[in-house]
Amino acid sequence: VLGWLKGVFLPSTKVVRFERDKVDGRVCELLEAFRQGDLITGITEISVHTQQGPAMIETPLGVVVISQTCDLMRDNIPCVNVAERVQLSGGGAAHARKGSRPRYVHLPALGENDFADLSIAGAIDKSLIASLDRQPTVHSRDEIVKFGQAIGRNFSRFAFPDEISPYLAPFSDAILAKAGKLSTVQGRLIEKILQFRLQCLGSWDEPPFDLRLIVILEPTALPALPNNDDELPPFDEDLNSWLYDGDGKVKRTVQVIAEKLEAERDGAKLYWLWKAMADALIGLCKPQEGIADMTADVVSADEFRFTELDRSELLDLDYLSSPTTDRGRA
Amino acid sequence: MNGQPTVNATGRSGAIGLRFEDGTNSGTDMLTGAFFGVSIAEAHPIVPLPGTLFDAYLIAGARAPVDLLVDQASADAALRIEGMSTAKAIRKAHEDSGLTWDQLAKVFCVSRRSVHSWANGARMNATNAELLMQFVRLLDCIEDTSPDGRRSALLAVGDDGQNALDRFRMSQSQLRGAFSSLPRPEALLGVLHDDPNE
Repeated sequence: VLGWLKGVFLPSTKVVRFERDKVDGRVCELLEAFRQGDLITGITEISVHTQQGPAMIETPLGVVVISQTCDLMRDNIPCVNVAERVQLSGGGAAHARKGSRPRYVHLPALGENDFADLSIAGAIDKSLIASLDRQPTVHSRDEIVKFGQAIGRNFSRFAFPDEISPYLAPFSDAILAKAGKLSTVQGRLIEKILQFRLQCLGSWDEPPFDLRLIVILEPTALPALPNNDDELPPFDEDLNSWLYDGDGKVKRTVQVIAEKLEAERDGAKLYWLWKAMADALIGLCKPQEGIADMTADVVSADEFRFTELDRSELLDLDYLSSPTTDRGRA
Repeated sequence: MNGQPTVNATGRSGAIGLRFEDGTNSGTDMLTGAFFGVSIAEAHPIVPLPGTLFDAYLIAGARAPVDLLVDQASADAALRIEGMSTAKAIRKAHEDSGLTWDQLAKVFCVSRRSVHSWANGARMNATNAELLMQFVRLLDCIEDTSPDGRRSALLAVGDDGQNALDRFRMSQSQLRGAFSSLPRPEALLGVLHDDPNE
């Protein structure tokens, strides 16, 4: 049976039909030991379909299980989905580890440069997988959750309209230029940002788009709000006039605001400096046809509403930045 | 008057009216039915509010709850605060409504901090500015003009279990269709709904 199955996945002049029968109970039992994120070194090729017919892609480093763990044991799901294991280097690996390259999912147990490439994926018969060795690539609960989330993120990203990517490219470039650079003030502040989300006030169906960027910060990045309905800390007039001109446009650069923000110890001023930095970042975006407006809001993770989550989309900066930006891709 | 009312948008001011199946327009008559999916309590007399005839309607009888029927398509609602800055308008809405900042933030589906930043001069999107104007109109429709009275009117729960503030939010684009793409527990469990009409 194994030989017959290998005929499906290994080089062969003959393509056989795969029957989606119910999975044998013994196979399911063997798969109880397998987990999402497992490396299967015994699979060295994945089949793809080409115009010329079925072909094979070599996966010399093995493949990584991307099916959900609970699906591995289900007898009504005949295959296990796997992705190619690849190794990246330099800045490309750094960005991928940071999560700014959704195509690549880090495999921490294998080293800093090892990833699952979700763009090269295939389906493998469960009985073949069950006959091979496994090697976990994620261990802690945090690593396991991150791995699963990264897979979901890659395949469920919102397809922003064509106008959005070029419009946001200067913003994305500015963030990616500093992200991970902890020797810089901007890099350290970006570390406190959990997510950028984009909301279209109205419909994504057709332009012009009225946009709202939501910057979600770590819960501790902003001082806690009062529990009662007391007026929130007002915007200090001196700080206001230092940050904004008479038309409400931010008049300082991102760097200058970042330096002041990092040095600031007055909790009431922190929010306004974060807000101004967000305003300065979106101020880098040039007016463009199809974009009516964009404003920025800064919110702490523990103040972010579920309704806002539902009405906004996660920004994957990697897909929005300028294609010419060199970020050390492998 | 019988039948379900249908929207009868009249004019660019965003005014609306209700037209019933028998062809009559609503006035100070009895109104039953539903609007924007919001049930309107039966046998409540309605009275047109100040402004155009079909501008909006206040369900009278008891002082509260208040149901405002707002035309989402109002294109130039911003004219309602002509000469007033957004910051001033949001502060006025906060003061006049008697709502907390948090409650007011829910109108816009934003955080309390966001709505407070608008009150301090932060720029607001045109769509939210329009929503603010719609909310100001809602406040205008409440007979009791004291903040406490308005808050009571906005938060009083009607027979349908909702208050006017929630109805307003549901009638606006901010919440229209909200969570429709979210897989709910029943979907995750593969639950099939039975037909309540059977």
